[in-house]
Amino acid sequence: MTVEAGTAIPSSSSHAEEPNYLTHETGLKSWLFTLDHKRIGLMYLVSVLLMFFLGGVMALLVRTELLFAGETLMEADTYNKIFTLHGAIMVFLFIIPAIPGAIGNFFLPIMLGAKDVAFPRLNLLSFYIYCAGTVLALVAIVVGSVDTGWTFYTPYSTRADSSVIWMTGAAFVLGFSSILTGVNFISTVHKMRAPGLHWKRLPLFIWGIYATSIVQVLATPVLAITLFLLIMEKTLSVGVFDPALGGDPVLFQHFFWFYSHPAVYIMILPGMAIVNELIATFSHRKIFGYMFVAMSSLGLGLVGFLVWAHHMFTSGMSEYATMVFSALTFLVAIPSGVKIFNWVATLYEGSISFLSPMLYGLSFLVLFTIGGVTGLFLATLATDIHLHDTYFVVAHFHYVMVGGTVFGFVGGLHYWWPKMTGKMYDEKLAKVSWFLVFVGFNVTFLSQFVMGSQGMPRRYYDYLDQFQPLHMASSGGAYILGLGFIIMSFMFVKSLRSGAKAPRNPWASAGYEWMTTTPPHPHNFEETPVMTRGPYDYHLCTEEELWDGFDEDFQPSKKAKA
Amino acid sequence: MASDAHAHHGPEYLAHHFETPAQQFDAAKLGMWAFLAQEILFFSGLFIAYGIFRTWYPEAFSVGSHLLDWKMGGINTVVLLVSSFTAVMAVQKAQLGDRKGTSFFLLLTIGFAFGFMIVKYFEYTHKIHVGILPGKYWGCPGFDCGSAPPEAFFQEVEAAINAAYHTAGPNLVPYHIRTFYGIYFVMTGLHGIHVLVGIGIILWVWRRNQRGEFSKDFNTPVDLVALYWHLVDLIWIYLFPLLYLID
Amino acid sequence: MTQPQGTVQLPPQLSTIAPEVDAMYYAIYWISVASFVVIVGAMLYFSYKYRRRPGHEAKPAGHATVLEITWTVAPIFLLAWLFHAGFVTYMHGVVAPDNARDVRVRGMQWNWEFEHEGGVIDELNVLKVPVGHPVRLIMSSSDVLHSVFIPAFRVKRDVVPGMYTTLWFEATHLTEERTCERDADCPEAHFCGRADANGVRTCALPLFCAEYCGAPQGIQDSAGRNTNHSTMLAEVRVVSQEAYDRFLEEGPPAPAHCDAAEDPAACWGEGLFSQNGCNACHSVDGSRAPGPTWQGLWGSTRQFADGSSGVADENYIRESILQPQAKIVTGYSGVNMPPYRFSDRQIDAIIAYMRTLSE
Ligand code: HEA
Ligand code: HEA
Ligand code: HEC
Ligand code: CUA
Ligand SMILES: [Cu+2]
Repeated sequence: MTVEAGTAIPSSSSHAEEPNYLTHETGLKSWLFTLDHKRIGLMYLVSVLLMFFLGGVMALLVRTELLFAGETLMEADTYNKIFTLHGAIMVFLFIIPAIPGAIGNFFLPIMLGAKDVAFPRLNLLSFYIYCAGTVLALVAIVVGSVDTGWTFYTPYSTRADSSVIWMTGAAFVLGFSSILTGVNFISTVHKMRAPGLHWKRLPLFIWGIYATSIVQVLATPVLAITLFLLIMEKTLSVGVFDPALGGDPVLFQHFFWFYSHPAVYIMILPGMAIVNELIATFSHRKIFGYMFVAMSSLGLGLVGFLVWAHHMFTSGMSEYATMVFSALTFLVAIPSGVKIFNWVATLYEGSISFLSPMLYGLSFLVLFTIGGVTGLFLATLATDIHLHDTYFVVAHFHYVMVGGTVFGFVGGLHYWWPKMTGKMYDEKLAKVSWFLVFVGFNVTFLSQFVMGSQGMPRRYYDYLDQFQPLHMASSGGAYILGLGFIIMSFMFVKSLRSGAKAPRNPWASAGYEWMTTTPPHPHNFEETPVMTRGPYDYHLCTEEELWDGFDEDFQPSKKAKA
Repeated sequence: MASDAHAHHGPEYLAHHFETPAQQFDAAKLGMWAFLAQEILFFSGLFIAYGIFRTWYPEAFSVGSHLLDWKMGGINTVVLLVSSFTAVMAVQKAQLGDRKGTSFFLLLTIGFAFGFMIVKYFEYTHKIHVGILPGKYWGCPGFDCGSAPPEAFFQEVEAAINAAYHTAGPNLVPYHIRTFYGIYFVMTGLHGIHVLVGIGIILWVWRRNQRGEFSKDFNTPVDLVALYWHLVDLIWIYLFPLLYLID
Repeated sequence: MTQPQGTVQLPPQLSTIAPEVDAMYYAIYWISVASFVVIVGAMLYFSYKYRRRPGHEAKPAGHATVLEITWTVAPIFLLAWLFHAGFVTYMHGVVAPDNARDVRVRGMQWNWEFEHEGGVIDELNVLKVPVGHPVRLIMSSSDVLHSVFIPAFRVKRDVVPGMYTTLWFEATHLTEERTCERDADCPEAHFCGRADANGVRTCALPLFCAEYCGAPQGIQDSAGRNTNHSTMLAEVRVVSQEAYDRFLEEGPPAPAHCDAAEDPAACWGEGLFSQNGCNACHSVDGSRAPGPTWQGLWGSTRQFADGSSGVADENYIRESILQPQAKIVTGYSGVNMPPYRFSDRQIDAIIAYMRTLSE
């Protein structure tokens, strides 16, 4: 009772009555208690977008305060709370759950040809744990708010007030959401692949999410225990981190970064995972060096465990440790480079279309390269001493986290939006918002590289006059960036309200997820598909598979074929 | 309708999204192992903290371990080992389709788990009562730093010190004994929480067994809960010598 | 001596290590620029050349194992060199020369205290260092983490409670002791320091606190500014070696506002009395306090706990400050006065002040 990939395509003429996951059940309860990974994915999407906007508003408050030296909007302690919340919300509530939770949940089972993830109940539980963590974080904001920075360094955090307990409690709880998602995905990838879908055919998106899941399962528990110890330190005063009780504050940093460096790969791997799909689809070509790209994800995940102390070169560790960690840090550049080179090589002899998702994909290449190579300035001991804890670091990590992950996420959102919602969006508006976001982003953070290398420390409420022009440029860029996001939100809302009906395969992609109806069937595929070709085998696709049922307005390349 | 085609495609216990019972079982087992890997890393942070502070302040750890009652810890080790065995028996009975036997051994396991918690309760209450407590609460009976520690506190500490230094003379209480007890309470406390959670889920599995949900063909939950229980046991196997025995 | 110029990216090089660090910086910078140009150049070129258009189809991707191995292995050599060079330069910055002059640095929320050889403590948040001579900072914190960061010297090191960390540098240029109104009045990389008692501000190099250390809620300093992590800012003044030696001998000079006072020495002494916290234990009006009152102390006969006695003269006062435990006044064995370190001129000033309390 199975159908082969090439012939599984639902014909465009019969689409009217296809049941889809959005409409086959209705009512609030059907959402809140759903076990359908697609609905859970959508609920994650809504939550993480809300958190992104909350974090973004905090970012704009930060930038506005820094528009001028001295007090602009708020007092120093308020500022400290705002940037802490900005960092904590963006990291724990937005970027870590965003791609695996929203897009991974939605598309991982579909791309595997499975009906659901291995443990649907656990999946829903992860989502509710995420919600509980969010509530704790909001409590922390209400009961007095945290001003420790997202890193919760001791002994500052052990002395600060009890809202730190709420915030670390939130991160602790969120960690378990992340771990359970990882456990779920690992089982799913191993055990739920459709017939014919062997490892060498696995979409690179899945390889990326799979590598992420491994890191999530192995690194997050260490953060959990660290935060638990911190909470114990504050309540029972266990004396592990607090020097006043004979503890060691530097030990906390080791523990924290043992998680939080691998966590940056929890953030970037899913972004890279999406970029694979964008570049393949919009070049109509299999990703060059497929196996190398797949293995580089695992490589990044594993090497990522060995470099944590590069955040602590000035902390007073031994010289021996700084040497080892600096050397290991350079190793992570290798798998990242492999990816970049292979992506560029994929463009070679491709057939490249510049629709909005691809613009984000290409921007990722540019911005991640900048973010990555500035990581090398920080990995080099001599220069990190000067650059540590300056805006150079702030710019570095925004280039990788925003220029990398957020651009990948937003690109994926554009790319899969038609499949998820069944609606097309306004491509012109999408391009306008892309342009504003791209330009605004670079203005915001390029100026921060310069002020950082000139010596502007981070987490500063007030600054010397010499940094004034650069701070103003940075804030101006942030406003452009914000405008870009507002236009984007407008565009998506408009699409929901009045978007044209999306065809099955609007981008003429060979990816498995485009083989099913739009929006997908409640069980993803009407019949379990059998994969007879890889997800990037454009030369093996039939004319109908790629170009069937699609609207020429959206895909000028249809004409190109003719 | 297409969805009907998926509704009944195998035995009752086969969830709709799996093709075969074997696939369902393999997925569950792999998931459990991934979860256990997570558990190990969770505790590893504490073991590392233990290792580091032990190398820095060996004398504090020596005195600390002499203050713990190895007999109580020993009893608990035996209790947990036996409970691991009864958990294995429950799995075997379940695989044979022996519902009564499964229930019996599950209950027995729970019984031992309670036994463990009772011993721990006595250890904890005694420590709290005399003021053998972590960090700034060291020497504060019942976490009340306003009152002086009872005579028992001084006697026990002195005995432990003399045992640790192998002399009877007046010896100093190492400062970092506070940290030892911080680590002791966090480690055994977290382990205790795991035991309590274990009791909860074994009870739940027991109930499902009573309702007749399991059979020769389908007994994955019994298998998984036993795996979890072995891990809880295993962690104690490390905690006991590290905290109670080596000085 | 003319001040060196900075570049768009880096501030002027004012220490011996700075040129080395900057060379590393620019090496990475040009490697990065080259990689970026190649990668983004190829990306743009391919995007244009293979844009989707009628009559052109994508060619299926083939294998190119040799290419893959090349771009996996080739960067390793480059990265290995980067690591090595970076580490060597770093070690130069770590191992202080033997003849370095030590300065003890104490970080506290939100001030820096610097103690020079011989126990000379300068004003809070002012660090004087000799030009052309290595200086080693031995740093400790009394509360949370801080970090000493002097951009012009390219040095940074965390200040950690419960342990000592060190850092060294050799300044190559004098700072210009020029008065200023705003930062813009000062040479590049300098800033306009805090006002002294007369409201005069001088240019200095900034020493930032680079490790986040918080902010009090709603508390402001005397200048009406909110003291916090971002204003935990010290002035680095690079002075000639002779001036530095003189400073060590004489201690920090009397504050300028005392020049006009009737008795400049006593004015200075009174300031020291309150700035150093002597008033926590000593009263000046005869009232009871943990330590003996200073009223009428000068010249009186003191009874000591060991039964002996002596007159409170210069030598005695000096000893009582530098080694308080040498002679304990009867009735005051319960409280231990900590030993203080002052230059001779400062002790003279304290005595001058003390005299006024016995008149
Ligand atoms: C998505 C998140 C992300 C990613 C992917 C990275 C990637 C990297 N990061 Fe970054 N980093 C952060 C997030 C991230 N980082 C955050 C959040 C912080 C600050 C946290 C805080 O303090 O609050 C930080 C801080 C940070 C520091 C500490 C700085 C300090 O505080 O002093 C260091 C030091 O080594 C570092 C290094 C690197 C390196 C070497 C990479 C590498 O993985 C980059 C590899 C990529 C490339 C190199 C580009 C592509 C490669 C090629 C094109 C090959 C050819 C090129 C050459 C051989 C030159 N990062
Ligand atoms: C994923 C992570 C992430 C993301 C996406 C961002 C996004 C941004 N960040 Fe963030 N940032 C961090 C993670 C992130 N940051 C972290 C971890 C820190 C360190 C914190 C610490 O030191 O502890 C930090 C610190 C940090 C600082 C340094 C503060 C300091 O050291 O004093 C600054 C300063 O400019 C900054 C700016 C920005 C800006 C302008 C954006 C922009 O990209 C934001 C763009 C988004 C928007 C502008 C949202 C759009 C929404 C609207 C415009 C509102 C409209 C609303 C409706 C329509 C309802 N960030
Ligand atoms: C912690 C409390 C404390 C502080 C702070 C303190 N002192 Fe004292 N001081 C004492 C006590 C107690 C004595 C008497 C015991 C002794 O002679 O050592 C004393 C004695 C003296 C004496 C000798 C007085 C006598 O009666 O013979 C002098 C002089 C003196 N202090 C100067 C200073 C100066 C100068 C400072 C500040 C820079 C200072 N003290 C700060 C506690 C303090
Ligand atoms: Cu001190 Cu920041
Ligand atoms: Cu890192």
